[in-house]
Amino acid sequence: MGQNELGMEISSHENPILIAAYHRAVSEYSEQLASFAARMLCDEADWAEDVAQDALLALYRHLHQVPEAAWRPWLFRVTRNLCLDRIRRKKHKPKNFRDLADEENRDPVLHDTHLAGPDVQVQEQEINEDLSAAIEALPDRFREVFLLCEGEGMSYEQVATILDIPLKTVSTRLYRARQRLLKAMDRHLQEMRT
Amino acid sequence: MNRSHSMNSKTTINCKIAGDWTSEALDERLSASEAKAFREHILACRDCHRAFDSLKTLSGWTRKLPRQTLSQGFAKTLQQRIASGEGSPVAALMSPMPGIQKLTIFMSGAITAAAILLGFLLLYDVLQGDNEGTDTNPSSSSLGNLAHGNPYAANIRTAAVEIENMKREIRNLDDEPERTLRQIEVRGNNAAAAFQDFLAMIQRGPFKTHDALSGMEDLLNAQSKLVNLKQLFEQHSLPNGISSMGNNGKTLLRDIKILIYELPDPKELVLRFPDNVFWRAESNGSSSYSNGRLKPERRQGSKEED
Repeated sequence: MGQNELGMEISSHENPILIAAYHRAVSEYSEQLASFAARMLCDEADWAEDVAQDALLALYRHLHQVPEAAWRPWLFRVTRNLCLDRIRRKKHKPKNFRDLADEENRDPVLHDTHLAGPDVQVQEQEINEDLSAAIEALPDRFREVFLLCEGEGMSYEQVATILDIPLKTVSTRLYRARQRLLKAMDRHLQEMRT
Repeated sequence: MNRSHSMNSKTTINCKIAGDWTSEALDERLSASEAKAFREHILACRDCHRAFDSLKTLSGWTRKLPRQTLSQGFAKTLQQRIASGEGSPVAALMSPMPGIQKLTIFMSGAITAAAILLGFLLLYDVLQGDNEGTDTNPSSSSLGNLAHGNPYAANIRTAAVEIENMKREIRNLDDEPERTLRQIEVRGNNAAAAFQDFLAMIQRGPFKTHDALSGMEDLLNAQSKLVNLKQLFEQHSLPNGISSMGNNGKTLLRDIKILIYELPDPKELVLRFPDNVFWRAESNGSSSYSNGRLKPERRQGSKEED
């Protein structure tokens, strides 16, 4: 038994090259997965890191079964499943006092750091908040397609593979998600034009 | 969105069609003629131009949305969870991705079976010699007449047709790189999926192996090239990334051409898996291939609510 850069135990049957690749994948995909999970989970975004970690842990446990080229879509697929599972459980669970207190005290999960002037910052912040709310308001099936295509820059083919839906459905859902978001952001778009 | 409108090079489109196409135009998913018609329309129509601009603005805003920042202890916690032997979450695996599942089957089991078959290949070559077809200039029609008989051979044929089209399409790579790369990506994925299906089938179904051994080497060789191709696409964010790569893009395109040139000759591939080598299973209930037909596989999420 030895240890890799992450301090993970390597048993003799494990391939060090594979472990190194896994280490790179953790560095490369953690933030993407957490961001995707945060947007999918909406008001449960505090769990985004845990979900991303669960997905990466699942990959580690199935390292020998998932080809390296398929790690990224596999991770997004698992993250998406975990998010939907959590959303479903949340819907069936009555709120208790602790949940309500958490909602009041929760810090915003997403942080932005930029150096624009105060007016621009306020305007951008408003756009970000409204757009985030509009994305949250999308039905799950539209939101996931929109986040993967627009947020993660994936091709229709990749999204179709991850969600196991036809290409045409990807296109349709993306179109509808965009139409809803355009409607929700109409005020800002008009302000931009004037 | 609605792409049923037929197009020719001189067709113009109305606002309804332009509106339907806006989303795909933004993602560069329209064909060359459609994209041309769309461009011409929005240049002439102020409302549609504005709608397209709005979509571009929305896209820009989305990309600028703040990303989740990870806590400092993220990697350490993950490491601790792995070290503690924590199991994989059940929910994550309850609904595995069929495509990946196929890949998993391919990687874990079928490759082993294929390796064993390859061992026999050496013996086969010594005893039988290579007396298969050697036509190196196949056409679609010639492929179309082969291997229609059963689902095993149908997978090989599907892959061969995709490979043949890839070999044909690389001629357009220099003139229309993004569009051609997009087609190559789809075809490569289709061919790889067909090979995986084939390998999964020979693992679980009856297969008269000794007659098709010489094809296995070609098949595995092709599959390995397709994996390399997929990796190139993913590493360089193709096809969208190609336009900004300058000279590096040219080198990359050359590498892609070489990979595709090196894919096995499609007609030869089909000839190496002729219909009659596949054992025609009796309807025994244990195989998914019976009476020459595949039982339909259950697909997740096939019900479309849109």
